[in-house]
Amino acid sequence: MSKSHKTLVVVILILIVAWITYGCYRQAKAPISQNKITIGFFGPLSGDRASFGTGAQAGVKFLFDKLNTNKYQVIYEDTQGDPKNAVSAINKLIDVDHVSVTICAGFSPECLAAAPIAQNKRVPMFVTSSQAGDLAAAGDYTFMGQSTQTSLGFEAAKLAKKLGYQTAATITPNYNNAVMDGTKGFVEAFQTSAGKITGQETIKPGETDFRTYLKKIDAAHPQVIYLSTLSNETALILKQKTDLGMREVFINNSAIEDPATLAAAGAAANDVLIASFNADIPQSFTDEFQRTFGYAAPHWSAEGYEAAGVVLQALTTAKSSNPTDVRDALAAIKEFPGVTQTLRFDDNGNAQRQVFIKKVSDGKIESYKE
Amino acid sequence: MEYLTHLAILFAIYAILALSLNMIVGYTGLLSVTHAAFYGIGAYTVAILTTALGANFFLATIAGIILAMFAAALIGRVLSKFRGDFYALGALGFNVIVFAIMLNWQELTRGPLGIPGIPRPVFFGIDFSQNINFLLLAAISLLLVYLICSFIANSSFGRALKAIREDEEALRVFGYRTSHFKLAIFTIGAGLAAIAGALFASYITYIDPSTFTVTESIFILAMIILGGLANSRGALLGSLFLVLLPEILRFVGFPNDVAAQMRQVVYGAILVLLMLYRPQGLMGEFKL
Repeated sequence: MSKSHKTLVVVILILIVAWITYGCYRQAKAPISQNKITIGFFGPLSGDRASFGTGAQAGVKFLFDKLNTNKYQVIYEDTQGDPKNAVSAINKLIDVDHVSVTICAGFSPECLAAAPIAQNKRVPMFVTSSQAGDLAAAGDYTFMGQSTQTSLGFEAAKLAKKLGYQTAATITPNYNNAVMDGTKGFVEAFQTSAGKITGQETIKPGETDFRTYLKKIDAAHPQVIYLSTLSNETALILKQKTDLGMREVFINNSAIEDPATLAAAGAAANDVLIASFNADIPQSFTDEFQRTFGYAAPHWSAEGYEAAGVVLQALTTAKSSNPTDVRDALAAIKEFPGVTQTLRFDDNGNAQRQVFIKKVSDGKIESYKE
Repeated sequence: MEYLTHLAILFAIYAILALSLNMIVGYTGLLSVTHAAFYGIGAYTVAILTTALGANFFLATIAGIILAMFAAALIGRVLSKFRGDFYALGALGFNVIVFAIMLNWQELTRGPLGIPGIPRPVFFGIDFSQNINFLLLAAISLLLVYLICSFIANSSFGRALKAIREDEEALRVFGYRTSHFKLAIFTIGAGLAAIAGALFASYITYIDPSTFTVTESIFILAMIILGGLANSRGALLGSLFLVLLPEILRFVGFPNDVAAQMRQVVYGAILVLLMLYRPQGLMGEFKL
């Protein structure tokens, strides 16, 4: 390195160190208002899963910005989709920022890793998007804003039986617990109602060619195939089943509702049935969100908005920033008017969302009418 | 205070990983990118034995160490015949295989569902569910691993390892069966990594395969490269730096909308600058 380069590097290094020092100093010296209630938010805000975390963050921000009050302060922490970072984030939020309640917008592993800390430190945690069954039993300081995917599988099986199908197969990724719960729910419900499962295929992370799985499943001639999948693989599976000329009826969870996935699948998505927790987002919400952020609200923004709403209601009724009081107030909420649907909470404080049956017709998702 | 205790525990776990990998990469010159596999074997053994069979944490940890060393001895027999790029590729392949087993042997590991509810140890009336007590356990483990590594480094065995790193052919000429030495240090390193895995599983109380990927192996490798190869204090410094730096950056007052991305940029920039200035690492004695 030349001398001038070395000088430049030293200057950059000094600037970075000065910046960090100033940030730490500012945070340490920030006046703590006695009346201000702090709420912690953590989720994947960077990395390859950031779209979910930043989407939920936008929903939370949207609600608190609309309130236009200094009474609440939301502190956002990044997990990069890593459970270890989620543990660091929730520890920091509780021990350093002294939050009254946390919102976990991470995937299931992140929320599952954070749940014991919420429980031990007695600070409630509200989970926005994860649909893993284990979270429902993670303790009385963990509250779920979603139902588990098991119930989606149940409803999909009920739909298949209602349509008169006796044989079914499933395809699901082997790297996501929530969608695997969905498949288990489908298989259990379908077999309970005397249906026969002709094949179950699991796909691995990063796979792009699903023809082998599809051919294997097709060979057993099931009448219906349940795709409990993530958006990553859904479009490709649908395109490849069309290429193979498969004529089975496909039922998907909400993966195909992702606009990018629907567009990528194109005509191959037509006639796919969907069992989903997602009701339509009201136009007024979509328009206002679009004006504020400059892009259409994804579902996880609506979920973030709803989670913030539930937390806000608990803080209001608790009339206290004490985490135990907030937990009790959260547990007392039995119904909450969400953006997309009324959320009903069971005795453990976990939302029981309504399942909507939809169908893709001419590239658009519509309510399914038999 | 609790937050600092948490960071100290994470540091101790990663320091054990860095010290053990340093024996393989730093002292012996074998570019191993599979340490997360042994870390994972230790973690999964403790998680399964304590949750499914209610086994004692310490017995489960010993089982994890034995299992990791057994796996290392098996794969090491093949790897010890290689050097350089081929060694790295073979090691990487083993990490991929172990990850695939964790993900797909669902009857045993629960696959992507992970294993929640892993208990913290209780030993002679000391309840390690308190973080401060767990820190003590982690610190004692780290001290033990540090002493083992120092003992190896200063022994005649350690000197033979360094000689393999410098000139394997020359050592062979003197009649040393270098593949045995390479296999031995690889196996010892794996056993030590399993201790870190056992501590991690018990501390976080939840594990899933995503923690034990090749990326994690590279992260541990980055710690020892940054701290300086073939120097135990360098390994400690590297792990301290890489565990604490992202946490320090949480306190930098970036605007909310770009904070996460800015932290990543600053984190990356600092690492690049450090490597530009200290390509041999902060306290390095050997450069790959």
